[in-house]
Amino acid sequence: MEVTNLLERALNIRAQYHKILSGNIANVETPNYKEKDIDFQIEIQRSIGNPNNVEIRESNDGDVIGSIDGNTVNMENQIVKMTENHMLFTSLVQVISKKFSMMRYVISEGRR
Amino acid sequence: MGILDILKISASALKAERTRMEITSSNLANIHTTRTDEGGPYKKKEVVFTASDVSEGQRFGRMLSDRVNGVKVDEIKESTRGFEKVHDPGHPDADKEGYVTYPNVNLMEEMTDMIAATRAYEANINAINTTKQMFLKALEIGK
Repeated sequence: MEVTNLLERALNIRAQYHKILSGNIANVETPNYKEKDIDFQIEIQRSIGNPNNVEIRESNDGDVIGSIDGNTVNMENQIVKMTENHMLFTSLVQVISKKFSMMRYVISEGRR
Repeated sequence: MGILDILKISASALKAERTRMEITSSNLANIHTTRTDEGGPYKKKEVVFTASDVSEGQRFGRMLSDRVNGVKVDEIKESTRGFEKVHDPGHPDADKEGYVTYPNVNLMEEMTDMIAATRAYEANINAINTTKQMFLKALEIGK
């Protein structure tokens, strides 16, 4: 069950990441709003103990210059990160469903 | 180069083209501005792009050829082209001979620049969509 467990954790983080990115996009016009981000590699390590909370930090690759109102959200970057997140989420779902279909194959003793 | 690096390249281009659009709008908005903080009429601004590595720096053992070339705005420069002089003696900023110095912004030039920026933006969005489709198609291998 270890692989399924890991996949579950990864899916969980991806789902939360989507929430964070949505929040960033929603606040694209909010004065003094700072772009939020998570580090997937670190979160997947951390998630063994506490699965439902990720450490949200301020992103340092946002729009540092250019905006007068102190908002650092880089709109295009957020959308692309969302696309990336979606792609990886879909592939995780694919892997997990393959895992289950393997299990089904074994249960039906190879008869499908 | 991973498929996710391609997305980063396109994202950097989107950002750069947006900046170019912002500068164009600023130029267009100030096409008749005769007074600025530093004195004199508004000076046309131009963006200068440069190729830059957009991948994460902490990746070890990366070959030099694996450099991921995105784009970023290197600097925003003021154009050195001469100002336009128009004879309008009634204007508050007219000189002794009745000439008003207007900014060195050319309307046609700004409009074409705007179209070019829009098209480049669209092209990069297309690149992102194609990359995404490729990735999702790859998931269908062996189905």
